[in-house]
Amino acid sequence: MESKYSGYMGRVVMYDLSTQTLTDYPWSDRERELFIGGKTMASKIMLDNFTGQEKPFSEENLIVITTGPLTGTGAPSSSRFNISTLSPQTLITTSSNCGGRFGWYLKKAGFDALILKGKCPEHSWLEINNDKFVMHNADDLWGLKTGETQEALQEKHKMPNGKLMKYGQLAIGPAGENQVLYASVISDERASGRGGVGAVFGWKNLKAITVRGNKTVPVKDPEKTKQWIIKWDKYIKSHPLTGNQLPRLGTAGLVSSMQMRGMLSSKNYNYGKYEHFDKVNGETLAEDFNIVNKGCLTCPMKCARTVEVNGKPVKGPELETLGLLGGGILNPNLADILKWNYEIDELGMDTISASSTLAYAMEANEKGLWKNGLEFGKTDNISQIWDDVAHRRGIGAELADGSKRLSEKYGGKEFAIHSKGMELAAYEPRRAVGQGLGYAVSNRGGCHLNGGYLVIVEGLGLYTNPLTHHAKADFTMLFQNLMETISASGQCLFTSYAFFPGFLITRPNGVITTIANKAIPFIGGVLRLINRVSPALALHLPVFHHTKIFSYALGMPMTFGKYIRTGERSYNVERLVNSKFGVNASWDTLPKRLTDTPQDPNNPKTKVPLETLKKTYYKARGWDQNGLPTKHTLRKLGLGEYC
Amino acid sequence: MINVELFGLFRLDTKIKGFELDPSAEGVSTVKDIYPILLKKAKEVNPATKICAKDIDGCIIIINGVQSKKSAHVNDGDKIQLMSPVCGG
Amino acid sequence: MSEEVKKDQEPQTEAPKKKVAAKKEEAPAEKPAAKPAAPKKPKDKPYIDMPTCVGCSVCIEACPMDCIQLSEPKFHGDIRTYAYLSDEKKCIGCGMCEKACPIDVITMCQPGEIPDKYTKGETSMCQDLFKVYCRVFQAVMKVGNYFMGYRMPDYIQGAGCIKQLPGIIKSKGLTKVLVVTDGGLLKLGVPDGLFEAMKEVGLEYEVFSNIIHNPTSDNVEEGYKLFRETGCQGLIAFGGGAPMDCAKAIAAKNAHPNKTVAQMQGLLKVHKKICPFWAVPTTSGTGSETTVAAVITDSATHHKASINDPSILPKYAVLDPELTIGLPPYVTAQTGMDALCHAVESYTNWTYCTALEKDLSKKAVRLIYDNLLTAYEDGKNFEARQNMQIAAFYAGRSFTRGCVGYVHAVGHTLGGLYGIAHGQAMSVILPHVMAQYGPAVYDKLADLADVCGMTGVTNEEKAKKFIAWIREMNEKMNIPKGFQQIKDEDIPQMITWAKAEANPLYPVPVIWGDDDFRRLIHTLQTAE
Repeated sequence: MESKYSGYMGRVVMYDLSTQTLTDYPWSDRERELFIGGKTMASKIMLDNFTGQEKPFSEENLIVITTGPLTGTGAPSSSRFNISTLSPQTLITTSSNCGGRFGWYLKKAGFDALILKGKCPEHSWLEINNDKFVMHNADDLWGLKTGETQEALQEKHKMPNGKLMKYGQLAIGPAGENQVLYASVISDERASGRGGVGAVFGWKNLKAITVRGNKTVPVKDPEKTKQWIIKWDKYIKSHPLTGNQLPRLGTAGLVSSMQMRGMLSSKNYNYGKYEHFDKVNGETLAEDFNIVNKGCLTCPMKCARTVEVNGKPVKGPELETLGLLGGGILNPNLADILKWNYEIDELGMDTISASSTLAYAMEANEKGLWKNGLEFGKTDNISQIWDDVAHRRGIGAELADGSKRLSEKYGGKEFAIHSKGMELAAYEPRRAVGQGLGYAVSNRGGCHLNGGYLVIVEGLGLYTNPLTHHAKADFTMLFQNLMETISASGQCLFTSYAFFPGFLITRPNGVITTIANKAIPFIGGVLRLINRVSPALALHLPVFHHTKIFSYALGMPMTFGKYIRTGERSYNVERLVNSKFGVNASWDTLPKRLTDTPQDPNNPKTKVPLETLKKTYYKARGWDQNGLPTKHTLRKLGLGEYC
Repeated sequence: MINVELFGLFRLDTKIKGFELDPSAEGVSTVKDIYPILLKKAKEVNPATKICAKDIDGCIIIINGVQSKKSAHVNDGDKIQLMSPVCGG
Repeated sequence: MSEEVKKDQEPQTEAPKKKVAAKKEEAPAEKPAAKPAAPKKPKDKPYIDMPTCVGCSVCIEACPMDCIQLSEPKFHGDIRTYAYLSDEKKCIGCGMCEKACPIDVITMCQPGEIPDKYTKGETSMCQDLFKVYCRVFQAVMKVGNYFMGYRMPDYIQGAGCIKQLPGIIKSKGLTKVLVVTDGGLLKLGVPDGLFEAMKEVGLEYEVFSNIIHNPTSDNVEEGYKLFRETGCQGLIAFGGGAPMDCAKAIAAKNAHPNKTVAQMQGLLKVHKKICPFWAVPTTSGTGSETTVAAVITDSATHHKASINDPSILPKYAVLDPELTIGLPPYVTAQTGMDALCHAVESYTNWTYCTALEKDLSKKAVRLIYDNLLTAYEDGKNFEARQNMQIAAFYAGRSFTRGCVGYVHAVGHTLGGLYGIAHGQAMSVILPHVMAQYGPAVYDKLADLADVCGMTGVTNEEKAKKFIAWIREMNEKMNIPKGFQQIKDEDIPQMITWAKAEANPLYPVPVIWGDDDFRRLIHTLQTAE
């Protein structure tokens, strides 16, 4: 349905892969106001279409690819899109965000979202050109790695004069084709990495999608939008985190800091430090390996690394991969990590789940639970392992199912480091208990970002007491809410880091910073109140530019309070749809290693007091003891129909 | 000897990974006493450097694994790490 | 032919040479001559405004020909990159980039032009307030100018009139003078006629020639020391702008021995009568013989700044065209364009000029239009040389009151940082600044175009023709289009210096902010 708001193309479509038919999916302005777009929109669509009986590998499972209304307006870091589906890894819904250009071009084709159902009768790739959908046979692409697939697609998108068309693309690799439970979808050099979305593509015989179009994203007030973009861009570029650390070190810059805080998980989360961290940290990457930093379309931060592997410039690793394939498996060789990161991307898998599953397997082998020949520190066979996993060959066939299923089969559940079936992301939560809560309650599983990313105040950016549970639940909720709306609007979560005034970062020893850090554990009550009365916060914060862009670019009134409330609604919609698949408090767990075994044997506080944190968190969220939204909460959020 | 290590952007800006110093020979009793030595080394590595004391103040100071201040005392055998605040995801 | 000393009058020129088109050979009567086809206008290309581009890459994505790229990062993690047209030949002028840009920093236009929207000067609340302040300052200065007593120097004019100078000096009661000149002129023997004449009348003299293109504060201190220690009573500045400015600064130093050069730089910091001072220009020229400015580079900081004070305006000038006959072509070109720059900047500036200065600017422009190329191609052409000398004189007098502008402010920074000769800097920068002023100068440039007989329907057209003529002159005289040696790391300093010099004193047509200076400097770096 056409929208009164700008930014939206006004069309959501459902494409049946079985019958190759296209229908319009109704989406109203009221829904745009409540759910914005992106992952939230996808959750709402899944909430309205899933009964809870669906299986991930089924025709009834939907692949929901959504964009945000800011994509195409030129707002900073606004080219992100989302793929949501029922995850084969967790058996609940998952959302997987990506910085590739697919979403940008989906909007140029005239669509805010694309919903896929059914199953292609043969190996296929889908070509979308404005509103023309053409399914092609993909036998010539099947089996190709993601890079090879994208190169082959280029040949299919050349004009008669030899020039390449401009289009966006999605592709899976052999891992998706073979339904590795954590297979990813690649778009250009970026990945929709987590949750096994690539496996669903593979089961549905969908190898790739390309999309192009010639439509323009409407902007409500071009002049005000332009001035705001210029101002915001300047702010991001001058901020110490977004304008200095992220471009120059990337997320890889966290390794040393995590080491210092005891948050760098090593040997499968046995420890929080790695003695050779300096060989695999962001500084070494920057000094010895980084060629240039790159950015997603419209992004001023340009945080991605480019490194050389086999003489070719390729995407470099993010922090999680460095941590998990470095200290995580006791590997001190950075060049290996760069190579493996590339190989895993080429095969089309989630680097986090792949690495963490490998680490589990190494520990299971070490403990005699599973004889698989994999050992910590033994790295000469790892490239072959990845290939075996992607092709479900030998032990690869088992590793392809992830650490949860392996631990159910072989034992060692206490050191299968996952939550809800999705592996955790290198931050050791026993030294950042708020992050531990986040991992456990994250809607899609062990996700650090969906979990609120509390490490940023627990030692990496600011350094409040990482072991206390006070205020952590309320902070988690606040950060989660903000980040939900950022994602829903099509922007990158990293734009939120400039929320912390620069002087708090550049003056870590300053009086105000010291006071702020000491005060954080005591302001839980204040945060609870903010969360509760958020719509009353009808203001704009100078450090949070995200609200004004809504009125300028979209013509949709937005305030800081409303932004938080929208995020809260988003989080609850995801919880609701997952509850159809059985999610409740018993799913919000962490492995016993993290909740029962102190990281420091001499300090009993160095473990995650999860039950205490969960209790407070559910209260803050307005959920019952079973971890489900109460009727009051649902009505408050405009979700009364789901009571 | 005191072992001083640099991390984060501060390491990239100074181009110094770390160094050792003899506290008694260099007259170092607090972290702040290390500042001129560090700035001098940074100047030796890159004469055009604009690094100054303010940049060292911008680092998190960790002595033997515990966060500290520049007024903290340091002793022979201590390990001092200077780290710029970071974020990621 | 020499003449009596003229007081405060305009020098006489040779009859202006009318440009007469060569007669075409008459075509055979039966066939009327075919009209030459109007030159095809080149395709519009994207102008990408570098200072305001945020480097979002949307235009790169939109371009179907892949002819836009992001600039090279200057270091690992550099995020201040910007889009630029990397392959002009590949560009088909489709305008997709302009349509795609979310912040309107791309506009299709004719190559080399700057679209009007980027010529209005930086706008923000602070900048707008600053502009008001500048205009108020300049309005007050305009009133103050009426009390300044600007005048033409007393002068003698004509071939060989330099030989009269020693007698005139002696008649004023002086027995010893310091001749400030440059080593190059000495080697060539250009001042020999003056020296012989001084010996003939028994006028003692010392020579100070340790001056480079852009005189430094050290040069001034050294020259002053010689002046004082040898008991000189007056100064003869013999040469181009460098010896002129150096001599003026020596005279200022002599009036204030305890002040440093830096302390006298700026506005009205001399305000004391100087010793007798004769200016003998050998280039055409800086017009320094008529100006109240002396531009000196600080030896320590390399900052080039001007001593501006009516006290240092030379009392006397000697306009002997024979002294310019031997000027090499490149010096003729650069100094000639320097004179043009004075005339144009003074004319296009706001409010300071009276009808006299405007008239002098127009006359100067016309003389340069008619004579510079001839003087460049045939240095021995006496009329061309004389007329260029007069043009420089007029232009100098014009800008003494009318002031200069951003061409000078930015040009001085290049002199300070890279030792680029003043004349060359002016020649290169002038057309770019005029283009970047946009509509603000159309009317005035159209006046100058009219003076030169250029035709056009609108003022915009005439103005652009005038700017095109400046570019054409540069090309014909082998003056480069830009300065690729400008280093990015020097740009902040250049902007600071240029702003300090120009704002609020220079009544420029458009008051610029940092982004505007960056725009100009980027143009200079990338012009080919």
